Amino acid sequence: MDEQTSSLKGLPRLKPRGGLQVMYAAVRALFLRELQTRFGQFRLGYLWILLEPALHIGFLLLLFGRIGHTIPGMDFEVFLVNGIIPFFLFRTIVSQSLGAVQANQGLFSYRPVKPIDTLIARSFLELFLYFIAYLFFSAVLLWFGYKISFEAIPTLLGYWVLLFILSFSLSLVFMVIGSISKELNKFIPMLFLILYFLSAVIYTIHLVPVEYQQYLLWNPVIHLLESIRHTVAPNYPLVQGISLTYVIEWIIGSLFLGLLLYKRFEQRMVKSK
Amino acid sequence: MIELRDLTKSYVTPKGRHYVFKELNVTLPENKSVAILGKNGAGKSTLLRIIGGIDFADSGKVVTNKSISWPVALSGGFQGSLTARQNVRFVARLYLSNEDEVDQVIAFVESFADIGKYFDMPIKSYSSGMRSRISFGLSMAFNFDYYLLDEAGAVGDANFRKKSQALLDELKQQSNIIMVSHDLNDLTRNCDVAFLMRNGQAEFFEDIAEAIEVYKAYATNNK
Repeated sequence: MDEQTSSLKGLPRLKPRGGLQVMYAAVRALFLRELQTRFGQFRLGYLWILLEPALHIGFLLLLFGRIGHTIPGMDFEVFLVNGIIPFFLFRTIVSQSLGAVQANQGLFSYRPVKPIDTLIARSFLELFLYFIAYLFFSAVLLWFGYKISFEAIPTLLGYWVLLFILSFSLSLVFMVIGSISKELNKFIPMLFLILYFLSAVIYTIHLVPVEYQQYLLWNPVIHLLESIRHTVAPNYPLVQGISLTYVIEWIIGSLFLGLLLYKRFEQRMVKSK
Repeated sequence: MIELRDLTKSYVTPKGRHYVFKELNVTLPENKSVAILGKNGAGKSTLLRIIGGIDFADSGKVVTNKSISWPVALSGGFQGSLTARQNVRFVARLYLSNEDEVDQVIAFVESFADIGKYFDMPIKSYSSGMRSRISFGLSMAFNFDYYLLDEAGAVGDANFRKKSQALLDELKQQSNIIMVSHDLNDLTRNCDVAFLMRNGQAEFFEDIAEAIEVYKAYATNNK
């Protein structure tokens, strides 16, 4: 027992920390844990960071790559990579948030962990994975001789950041909704399927008659996807009405609503009912 | 100091609202360990978790400047597909910002749990005894002001129990415990003051012996 005593003495002491420090520690620990949980136990390990989306997107490329080649000013494969990967980032972050509270219930026994931390960690993980996949596929396309413009890399990164913030803001709203009503969980995933077809992911908005384009443009995701495509292929024209201001309005609105709902329901999400 | 202000907690059941306690106002005295007594389902664990800040009452609040542990020997936060080392590292990272200190915690838990090569195998392959060795050791690795024990004494073989009681005695020199147990001797041994939970109320007693007397009479009358 003396041995135990001495080892107990050598242990680190807890220090008082500020709120942001606690939050940073929690998000960091959750991010690293999530990465290990997802890929650690597989053969080939972290190679799956590339392989998982690669298989998914490669399959879609095979499927749709043969269908249409009617994209103005852009190769269809480049068009797909710049639609599917950003859209999947959006879809994954938002749809996972619906069950986030329930999935992480065990972790809230550790006081530093708040529901929003699990959401932030998960969102960053998805951003990390999908962005790596994006780089990987862009490199593959370049290697095969497709044309991708490097004229406006900072703009491109800016669009990704906007997409990420938009996804996160909406996921905050959906996390609260999903924890209040389990019934909604049943049909919200279906909405994402509809959104998939409404977001011009696998077709171009130029195919839609001009008088109907304005309705599609209510969806903020289209604005970002089209802008991303325009950046990697400057000859790809933007339709009338694509606007970053509109996206930013969505971000401000949903982030405000999300934080408001979160603050109101944070304890209710965690407490026993 | 831990102050409970106007705490009310209830659950909605198919047979109407069930109160665990109503308008509970108690200031826990400094440097006293707290026992929580009551029959099964009286809400002992709920009160424990609310004091610990990981569950919340319907109204009222818990005011404290003390650090309080998670329920000792709790393993619900463990990820089964990860090894004990990885799980311990995760929890240590939540509470410590320095990776060297995190490594110290891991080394301590590894030597305390004493489960050899299993320490690097996925937790889901563990027996429940092994799991509680890890989670008990992990809780002890931090110097909380208060430790929450939710029937934590009831696990492990005789040797491990002796080891954990010795560790607990040592911790009690610096810290206090808040304890739920059905073992009255255990409670008398470790605690100074007590909550008795019955009939949708929580009563506070300055003296554990008195609480146990009342509880014994109550339990025999309600058989």
